Amino acid sequence: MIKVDGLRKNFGEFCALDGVDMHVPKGAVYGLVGPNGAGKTTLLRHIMGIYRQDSGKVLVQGSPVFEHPEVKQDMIFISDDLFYFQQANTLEMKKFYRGIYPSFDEGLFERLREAFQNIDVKCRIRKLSKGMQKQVSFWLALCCSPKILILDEPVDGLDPVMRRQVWNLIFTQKRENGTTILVSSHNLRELEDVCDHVGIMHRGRVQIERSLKELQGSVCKIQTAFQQGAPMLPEHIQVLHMANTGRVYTLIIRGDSKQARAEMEKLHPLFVDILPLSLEEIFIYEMGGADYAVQEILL
Amino acid sequence: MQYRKFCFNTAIFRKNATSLWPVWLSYTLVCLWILPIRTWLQMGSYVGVGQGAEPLAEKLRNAIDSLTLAISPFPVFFFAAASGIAVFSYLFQPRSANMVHALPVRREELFFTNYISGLLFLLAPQFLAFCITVFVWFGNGATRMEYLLWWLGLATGEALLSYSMAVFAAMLSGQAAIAALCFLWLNYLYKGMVSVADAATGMLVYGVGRDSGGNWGEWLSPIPFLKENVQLVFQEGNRELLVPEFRGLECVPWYAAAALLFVAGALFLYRRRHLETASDIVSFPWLRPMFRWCAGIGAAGFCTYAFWESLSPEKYGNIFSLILVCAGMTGVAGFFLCEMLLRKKFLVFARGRVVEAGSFLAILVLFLVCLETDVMGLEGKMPTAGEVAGIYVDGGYQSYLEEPSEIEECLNAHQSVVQQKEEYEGYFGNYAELETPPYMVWKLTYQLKNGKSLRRSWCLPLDKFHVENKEGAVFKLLELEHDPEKYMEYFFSSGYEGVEITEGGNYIHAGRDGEYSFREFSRDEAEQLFLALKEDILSGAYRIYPYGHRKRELENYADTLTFCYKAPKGSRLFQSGEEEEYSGKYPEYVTVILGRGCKGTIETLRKLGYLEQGETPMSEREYSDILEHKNQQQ
Repeated sequence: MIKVDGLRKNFGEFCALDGVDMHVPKGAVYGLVGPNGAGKTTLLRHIMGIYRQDSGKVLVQGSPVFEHPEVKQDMIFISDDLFYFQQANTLEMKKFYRGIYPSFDEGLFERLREAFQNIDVKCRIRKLSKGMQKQVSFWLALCCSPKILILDEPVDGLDPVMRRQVWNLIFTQKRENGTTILVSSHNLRELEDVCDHVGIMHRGRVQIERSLKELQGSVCKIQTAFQQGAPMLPEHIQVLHMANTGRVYTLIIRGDSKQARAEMEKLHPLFVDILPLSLEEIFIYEMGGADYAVQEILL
Repeated sequence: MQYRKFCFNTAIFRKNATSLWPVWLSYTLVCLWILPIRTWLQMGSYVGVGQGAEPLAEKLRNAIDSLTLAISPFPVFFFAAASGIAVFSYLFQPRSANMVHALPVRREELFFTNYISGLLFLLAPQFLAFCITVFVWFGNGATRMEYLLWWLGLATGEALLSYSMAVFAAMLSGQAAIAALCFLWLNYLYKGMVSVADAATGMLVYGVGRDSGGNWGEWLSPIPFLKENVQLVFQEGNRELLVPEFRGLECVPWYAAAALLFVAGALFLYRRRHLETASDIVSFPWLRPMFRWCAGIGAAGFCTYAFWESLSPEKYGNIFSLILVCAGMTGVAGFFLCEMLLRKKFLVFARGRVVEAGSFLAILVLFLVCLETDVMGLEGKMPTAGEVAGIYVDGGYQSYLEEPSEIEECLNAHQSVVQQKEEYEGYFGNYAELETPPYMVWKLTYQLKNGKSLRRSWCLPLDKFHVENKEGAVFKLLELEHDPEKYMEYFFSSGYEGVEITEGGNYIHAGRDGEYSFREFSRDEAEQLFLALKEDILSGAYRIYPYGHRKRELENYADTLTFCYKAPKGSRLFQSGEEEEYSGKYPEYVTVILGRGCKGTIETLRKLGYLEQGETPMSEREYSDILEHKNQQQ
């Protein structure tokens, strides 16, 4: 659905994107994570056709997106940094979006009034709180019935109830229209619940890009204990991290959890347990040794 | 349909019209005020007398007169800048730029929609004002609608040009305020360049003044050009035109054509523009060096000129080294100040930038040295006698030379001055520690047969040596100026022979007690005194000495005579210090300082009883001695 190849962008002497490769499958919910300044927003702006790349390709549904309105009319971008016209209220913005997006669904706008009933549609949007402004942007974006929804730090500023409601609305849209969702965040915990694909950006590049299933199958966390200290582990077991409390050892091992358990049982432990591993931990241990300053991403 | 979609987006147009209403509403009010309302008020207050052709013509003149404010380019240019910058204001904030460019709209469509919106904000009020004024004119019996149509054409052309320039300026910058400055800069660029060049040549090229006069490129600065050239003319010289004329409209189609170039340029820039430059001073990297260099040149030109003016340069002679240091320092300071603005930080002294500043300094110094050493030969440039139609000379007094022998003589004096440049500059240099040395300013304006003019002006020494050195230029030009007929022309116009004394005059007499007495005399007495003065002057006994000449206070009396006269119509007048022809309408006044050569005039004053028998007026020196003595006593 979205394909980025060797994308580069410099702002003066600063290299913001340094050869980004990325692929977002159709219908996926793709989470883009990375520390501040990693280049997430810049990448999203290229995908939306706002910025012109120095080199590389950005293809959406197989077509370049920059200056291609026929591609962009199926895409909606909700920026972290919202903008509304001076003096405009929600109804006026609706009128504007209706004039711009041919697929704007006025009936849906009316149906969604109930979900956003705290918004006074005749009040100047710039007078609304930041959270309410964000709600307006979701309301308008969903009414455009986009095939691709691009969200930059989407739920920042929303209260937990509204956060849940917004995600529900987005997933309803996804179910009904097969919308592809690309969402950027620096909060992995937030994304873990919603994404099926994850890409991690650092220093202008996508360092890792996998489906959540692949990631969860690639690393496992084992807790085990031995009678007389830890034995020598076979060389083919790739330990990413090991810690112990007395005779109890916690190991992070690369590979499938069943295979790892079988290998450990050969060493006659007192017990072996497979523990659940959060997305946050996967990234810490996957990238921890590579000096990627992953702590910055996760903490 | 395809074309409409490509060029115009109704939703964006509607958004512009609703959110930018203050711009179009205020311009509508201005247009309504300067045209229909003002016309209505002016024509309403007009009281015509009688019937027939003359009152109708007067009514028409009155109606056309009400257009004078409306043809001023300032309101159009001001609102064009406001409109152009407002419709493209989304480019000046990253948030708005990103939002608008995330929409499924091509840049061309955005550009043309915004361009047309802003242009309509200007054209619609103008057309509305035109339509209402048509009714006002008809209602008041003025039917010559072509004047209103010319106005509409002018206003439309000005709006096209100024608005397109404003849009072009908006594309060059990422900040609204800088875009507005850039718009002004585009409008005054040529004038500014000419001023800097004039200031530089005025400071460094001997004899070349700071006013190079009119030249071919004036049209490149549209606001001042339109202000000066587009006019409603009611009077030709002294003749009142039967029907007023709308002049200077020939430039409007050319400006409209230039507007198309600006639009094309603006669209090209918009397509190339990187949105991340929103809020930057300039939106294209290639503009940065241009911005730095222009700022450097502007700072060097302005500061050095201000410094030079503050020094009273005639006291110091050649101060090239000071000018060089000042221009270098202020130029480099302007260069780096500009870089600080561009980078939004103070530490901008990177190696590359320092090297660039070095190149800038080297070129600046080279330019100044070239001027000082007169590589282009400006100092020695002078016309041949055959090329000159006449010469305005402003030295001890103002005169006009047109006889071939006079022109030849003046050219010789000019050449002598140029040849003695070093000696004269040295003269002022030697006086640097003292008070202002005695000097005179000698200005020449050559009027050439090809319609052009050439101006020169020098500070020349007036000490005893230079005044008496028969080989020197100063002696030559003082001799050139000593011409009784020119004195008469200076006082009583070039038609002095046909002068008619119209009223009495007055005689100011300085008494031995240091007090002035003021005596009025009749027309008959004025005629007698005029004839006596004329005889004295034409006899060659009278002489005008320039200020600073050591003989001036010895030869000139403290007494003056004032005459009121009418000269033949079209005679050349010199008293105002500018080129002027006598209109024949109103009398002129002239005050003549009496001198030792005015023996006949003094005798006439005695005869008329204004002076005691045997009494002679005091010289300026005697009078100032009395005043000094009086002050000491007090």
